[in-house]
Amino acid sequence: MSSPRTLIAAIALAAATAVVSPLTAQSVRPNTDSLLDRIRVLDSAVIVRGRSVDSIRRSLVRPVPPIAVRRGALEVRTVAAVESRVRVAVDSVAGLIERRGGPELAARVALHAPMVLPDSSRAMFGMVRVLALVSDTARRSAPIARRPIPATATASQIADGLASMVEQFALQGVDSALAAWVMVGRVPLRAASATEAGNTYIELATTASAALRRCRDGDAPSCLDVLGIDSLPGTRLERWYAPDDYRALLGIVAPAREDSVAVTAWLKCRDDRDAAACVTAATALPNNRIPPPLSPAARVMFLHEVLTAGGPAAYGRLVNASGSVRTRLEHASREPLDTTVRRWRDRIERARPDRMRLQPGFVIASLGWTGAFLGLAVVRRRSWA
Amino acid sequence: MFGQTLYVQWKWNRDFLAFYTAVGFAAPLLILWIALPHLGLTSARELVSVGRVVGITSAVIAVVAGLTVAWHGYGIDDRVGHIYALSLPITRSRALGIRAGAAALILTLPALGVWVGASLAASQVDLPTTLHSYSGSLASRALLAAWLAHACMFALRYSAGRRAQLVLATLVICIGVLGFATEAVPSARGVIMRAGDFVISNPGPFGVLFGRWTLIDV
Repeated sequence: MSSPRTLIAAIALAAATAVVSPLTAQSVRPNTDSLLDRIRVLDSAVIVRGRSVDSIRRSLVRPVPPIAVRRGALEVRTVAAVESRVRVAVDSVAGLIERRGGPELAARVALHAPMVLPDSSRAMFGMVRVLALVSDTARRSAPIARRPIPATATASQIADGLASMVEQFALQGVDSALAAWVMVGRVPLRAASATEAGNTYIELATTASAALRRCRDGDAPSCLDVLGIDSLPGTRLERWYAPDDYRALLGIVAPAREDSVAVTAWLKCRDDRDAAACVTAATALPNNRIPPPLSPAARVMFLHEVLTAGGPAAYGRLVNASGSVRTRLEHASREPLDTTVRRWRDRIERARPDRMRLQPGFVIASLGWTGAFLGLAVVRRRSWA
Repeated sequence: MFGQTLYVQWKWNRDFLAFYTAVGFAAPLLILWIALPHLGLTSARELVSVGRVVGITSAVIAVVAGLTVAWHGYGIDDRVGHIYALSLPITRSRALGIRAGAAALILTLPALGVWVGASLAASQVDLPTTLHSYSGSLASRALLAAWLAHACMFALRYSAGRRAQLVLATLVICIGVLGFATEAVPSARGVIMRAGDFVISNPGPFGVLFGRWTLIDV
């Protein structure tokens, strides 16, 4: 097989290879180096970007605080510096959950692990130390989701923040009909403060609404109507406002700008106090634009009354029941809603803030300070000038 | 002695007192007369707002009256080298005590003006059943505020003497610095805010000035 011609060809190929191979090596080496350099550049870029990502991750996701304060269904993670205050606060809020929410709320609260940790907040000059209340360890918390309270907050202030959080947990995941009726995104486990109740009284006493006046006079269906629980027949305007109330109503809502007749009447009503124009403008308002006469604060007070009447299991009955809001509230309170409405109204009437009455302590304090200032001048023992 | 001092105080301040009493009397009437035609079909909320304007006006009148009586009395005395006070056969403390008592008495006049004016104004308004008028309470507050304002100015002028303006400027600067410190030194904000709250609320020294001032309320 190995003919002389084949042998010569093999020798020539070998010789050619021997001559060419150093050249080939020289041409491949620069290509490899550039690839290596490229890899090194990309690698360093990846390292730099990785550090940025880690930095962002560290700023967004903090390590879970080491101390777990647990009482009943409520577990709060915190740090040693505030542990004693958090313990007192957790005891208070856990009691609230047991008294007001029962096992249904406890189960919902157990799904969360709120945190109380030292943090800082930006001030005009520099930073200020605060305590941040974060609703959960499981979620990445944006700074806006944190509720800062002063770093020196007392246990009761921390309890107040935790209770607000629990009230929000209580409304998470409930059906939209109930959530929409409550409006404020929380179930009121705590009673309204004297100021809140007083503000509701002022609202009832000063809002121009025929339905509210009927409600204050003892008409339970009107109360249920303004609370958004049960509608009386007719449009919102007919149900809630009398012609005497139209001008006040038109102070907070205006007709559509396309309706030139209504807009003209609205201007005449507002500027000239023309009663006929007020009627024209008010009746031109679409039904869905008529605002309810009562604010959500009044609803929250009413819901608290329902939960109080129904006892610890009322919350469970409220969120698990089906049907209209009225049915569910009645199911939760285990009493006719007329009874609850009467109690709610009496409570608001009792909350009337007597702001202008001069209390004896107030007069004595004022006279005492006046005397103290006069004393500063009288006791001075130097010359007149 | 008290009667004589009262007469002297009255002579010094009667023009101012007549002015403040007249303004205190007229302000509630004027405000309601101006406001009511504009309110037309009055709503309770608007009446409360108008009552608040009357209340704040009364507070301003009372405070200015108290400050004026104290400032003016000392000014006259100082211009003549306190000769009148030095000529009296009593101690400085007693003379000042009598003068403060006399001033307190004459400062009841603007408060009386407020009471009569506010009562008349309130009687002309057909209030809804949910609202009440508080002319007596408003006048009492005006009296307390006038006395307090007078006492502050009295203390400043007779304690600091000719350095009163310097002391007053120092006080104003201190308050400004504290206000600035609430922003500049966040760690001190809590303490300053608590102190400020105490000063302007009952039973703090200026609780009467920063309380509720209104003629018509729920």
